[in-house]
Amino acid sequence: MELNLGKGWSFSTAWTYKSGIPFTKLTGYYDKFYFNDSPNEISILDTYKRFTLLDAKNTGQTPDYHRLDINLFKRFEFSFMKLFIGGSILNLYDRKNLFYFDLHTGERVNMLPFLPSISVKAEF
Amino acid sequence: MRKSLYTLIFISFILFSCEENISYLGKFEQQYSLNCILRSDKDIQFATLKMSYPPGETLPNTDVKGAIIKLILPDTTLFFKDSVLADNTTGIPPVKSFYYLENYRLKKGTTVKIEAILPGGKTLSAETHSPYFNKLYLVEGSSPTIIPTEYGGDTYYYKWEHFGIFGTFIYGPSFYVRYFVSGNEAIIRYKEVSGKKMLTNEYKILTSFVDDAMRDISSGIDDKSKVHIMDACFEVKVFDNALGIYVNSIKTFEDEFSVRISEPNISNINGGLGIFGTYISEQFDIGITSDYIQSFGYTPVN
Repeated sequence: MELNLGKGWSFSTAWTYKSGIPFTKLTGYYDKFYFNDSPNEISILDTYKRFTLLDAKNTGQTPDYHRLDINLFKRFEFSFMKLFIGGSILNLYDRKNLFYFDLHTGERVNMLPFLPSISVKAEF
Repeated sequence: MRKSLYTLIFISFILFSCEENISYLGKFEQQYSLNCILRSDKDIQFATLKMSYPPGETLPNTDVKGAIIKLILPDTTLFFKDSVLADNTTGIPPVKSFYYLENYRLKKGTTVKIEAILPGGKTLSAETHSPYFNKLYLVEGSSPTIIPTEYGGDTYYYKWEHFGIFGTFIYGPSFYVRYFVSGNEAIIRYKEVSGKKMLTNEYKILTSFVDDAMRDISSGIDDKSKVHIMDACFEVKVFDNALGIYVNSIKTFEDEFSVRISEPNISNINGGLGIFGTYISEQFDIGITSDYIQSFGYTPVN
């Protein structure tokens, strides 16, 4: 939605919504053997890496994604250029949207938090 | 009216902006993995038993001790011994638990079963059949027995075949340079040279990779003449069916950068995870010319 507030001021806002998607849940880990024998190396003694164990496929659902962004700009007009000065706020209500869930560490990583910014744009 | 509506929506989002709690974890169930690879080039065999662990546990000791592991052969049953290996490096966990079986060397064409009885009574088992063939040999003409070859070129090809093939095999070819360092004559070292399997029974090695491996051998050694190059060795591991499939499944996920989420988790262990496999190793000596060895500053071994 975009509003012209007059006297060179303009305001816009956008709200984005996406429903959650299915995902497969993490249940644990085990140390998986990675075969790498050579004539003088017995890899079964020490060549292991953590392997992720998963639940049945698509038994979980990620949370809904939504965020509200706003922009406020003031336009200045000169004979040789137009100047726009304004500010934006991404994720106005600081929604903790899921970016990804690290299956190797069990850590949840979120997308951008409440993020204000200012900008200047010149058009010649 | 419209202004009030927008205000209401805005306030409602502020009020409900908190993080949505969701469980990413399924129900943890304890699982056990048994790993044992029987090989034909050693008189001692090893097995390990490990347990799974839930998310959130850091650096757990996953070794299972006190189990009874037996190898069931057609005519006898052998028992593995329980042991530990102290790791004096920074490796974690500092002590590794494993099981070993002395005085047993795998033979071709043998049906072998393994059975592990865990302290809690749970049993893991598997059965496989070691590969059988009469003789594996390098195809003359296409497999150089001395390097560098007098014909030049930038690639060495090795091709092998069998007499008396019974079954379909999966091969694991490798190429090594054998050497020792003065003062440590008793310890024969193997420097692997990377190559590429071309067909089921053909292996390609770039000569530049041999050069690189030769240079790497003296890494950290100031006096290169202390490095004694013996020869090279071309090895063909003939895997049984279970181990062949397992090795192929992990082959593309060996590096640290691959994402393992889509890696298949193959196992032939009844009641658990892991692998019980066998392989027959055939090794061929490949000579290295003295001129080539000396060009790196090393000492040839006659």
